[in-house]
Amino acid sequence: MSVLTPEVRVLVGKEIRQLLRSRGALTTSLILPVLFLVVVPALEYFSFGTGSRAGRGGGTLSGVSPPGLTGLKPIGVVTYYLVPMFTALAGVLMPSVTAIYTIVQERERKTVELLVALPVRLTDIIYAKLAATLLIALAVMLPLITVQAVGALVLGAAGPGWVAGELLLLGCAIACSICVSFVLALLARDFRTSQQINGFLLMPILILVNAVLLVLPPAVKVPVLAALLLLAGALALTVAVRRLTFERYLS
Amino acid sequence: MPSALAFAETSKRYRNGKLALDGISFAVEPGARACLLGPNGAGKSTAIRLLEGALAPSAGRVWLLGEEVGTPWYLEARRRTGVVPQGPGMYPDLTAGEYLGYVRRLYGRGDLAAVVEVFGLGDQLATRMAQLSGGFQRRLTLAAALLGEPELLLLDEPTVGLDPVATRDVHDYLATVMRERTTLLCTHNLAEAEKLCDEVVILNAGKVLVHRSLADLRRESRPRLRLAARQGSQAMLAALQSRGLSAEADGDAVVLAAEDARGQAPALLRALLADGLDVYECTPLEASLETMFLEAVGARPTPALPRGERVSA
Repeated sequence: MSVLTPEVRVLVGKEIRQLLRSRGALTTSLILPVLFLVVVPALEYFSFGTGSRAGRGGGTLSGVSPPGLTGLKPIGVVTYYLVPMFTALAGVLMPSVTAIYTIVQERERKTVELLVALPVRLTDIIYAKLAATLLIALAVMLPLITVQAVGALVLGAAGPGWVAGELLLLGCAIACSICVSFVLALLARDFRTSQQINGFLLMPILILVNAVLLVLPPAVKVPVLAALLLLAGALALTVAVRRLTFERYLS
Repeated sequence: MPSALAFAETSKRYRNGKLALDGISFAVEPGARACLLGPNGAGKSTAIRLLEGALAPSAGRVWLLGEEVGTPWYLEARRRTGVVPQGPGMYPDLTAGEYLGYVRRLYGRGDLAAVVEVFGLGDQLATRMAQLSGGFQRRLTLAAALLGEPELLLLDEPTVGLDPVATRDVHDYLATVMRERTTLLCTHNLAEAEKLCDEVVILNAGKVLVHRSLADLRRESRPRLRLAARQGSQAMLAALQSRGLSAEADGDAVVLAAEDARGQAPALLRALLADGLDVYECTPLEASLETMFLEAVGARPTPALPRGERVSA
C-alpha cells in the first residue's frame, strides 16, 4: 500500500501551511541548519584560512591525534571532520525538532480529535506529519548545503567526491531523524517528554557520528557514517512498527 | 440491507489493562436515531472510537455502513459518515474556511457554501479556529461533519461544555439534520437524548444493559405517582409510611412507584385527604429517560406500590 495516499497528500498541505505559520517551528527549522551548515563551517574555514596565511596552519596533525585525523592539515580537519560532523548534526537534529512541533502540538492541543473525525486513517495523519517534516527539511537544507559545497569548492578545500559524500551524509541523517520522529510520534505525550525522548534517542547517534569521524580514515568515514545512520533509523523504525501501536498517538 | 453500524462480541482492552468494552453486540438500523448512554467510563467514547477506526478491537468485529472496520473498503464507508468529536481542540493557525476546505477535499465532495449558510459561518470563515466562540466552534465541527453529505452521523457529546443558548442552537441544528440521517448520539445529557433520539443503547461497565426503542421502554417502565401536600414532603412520607408505602422526597413533593398509577391514585388521594393532609397535587408520571436510565444502571431503585394494593382510608 502506498504511503502517499490522496488523504496523506491533503494532510501534508495542511501540515506545511501550519508549519510555515508557526514561529517556533520555523525559527527552529531555520536556525539550526543555517548555523550548522553555513555559519560554523564558514567561521572554521575563515579562521583556518587566516591561520594559514599567518603561517600557523600549514602543518599536519601529529601522531597523538585520533586516527581519523592523523596526517590531516588543519583545513583538512575542518573539511573531513568538523564540516561532516555539523552536517550530520543538522540532518539528525532539525527534522526531529520540527517533528516535535507538528506531532506533539497536535496531541497536546487535542486537535488530533478533529483529524480522527475525518475520513482518514491514523497512519495517514502520522505519515503526513513526517512527510511535511521531510519536505521542510529538504527545502531548508538543500540550498544551505549547496552554499556550503560551493564554498568548499571555491576555497579548494574539497573536490566533487567530497560534495557527493556530504549530500549522502545529509540525506541519511535526515532519513534517520525522520525514523526517530516516528518513534517520537508514538511515545511522546507533551513537549517536555518529547524533548527528553528526542535527547535519549539522538544522544547515542551523535556520539556515534563523532566516533566514526574521529576514528575512520577520511576516504571511508562518510560512507560508513551514512550507512550507520541509515541502520540506526531502520532500527528505530523497526522498534516503532513492532513494539508500538498507532493507537498510542491518541492515548 | 446491512445495518448502519454494528458491533459483534466486541471487546476493547487498553494497554493499561483497562477493559473498556466487554463483548458488546448491538446494531443500529438505517434511518434510526439512537443514543448511546452510560455513566462515565461505561465505554461510550471507546465505542465511537472503534467506529471511527481510530482504535482496533481487542476481540470481535465492528461494521460501519456494511464495511468492516480495518478493511480496505472501510475508508469509503467513512466518507459516507460524519463525525462530531467530543470537545476537540481548535487550530490557532488555521482559519475556519481553510479547515472546511481541507475537510471538503478529504470527503471528495460537499457544497461548502450551503453548509456555511446553514450554520451561519459566513462571517467567521477568515477567523482562526481557536479564536471562534464556543458556540461557533461547535457549529464548525457540525458543519465539517455534514459537509460530505453523510448518510450516518456519529455525535460524541456534541453539546458538552456549551452554555444554554449555544446548546439550544446546536439542538435545533441537530433536530434538523438528524431527520434525514441515521444517527448515533453519544451523550450524558438525558434530556438531549430524549429530545433527539428514538432508540436507546445503555452501556455500563463495558456491557450493553439495554437496547430498546424509547417508546418500548416507556411502555414497560413502572409508572409513578407524584404527590404534594401543603404540610410538606415529610408529613406526606409519614402518612404513606403509616399505610406501608415507601416513597422518595422530590423537593416539596414525594414520588412513589405504582403498578397502576391512574387506577390507584383516586383511592390513595381520598385516604390522604381523610388523614388531614391538604393534598394539592396528585399526578401520574410517565417514566422519563432519566428514570429509565437510573433504573437500568441500578443507580436509584424506586420503591413500588404493587398493582392492586388497596389503600385503606
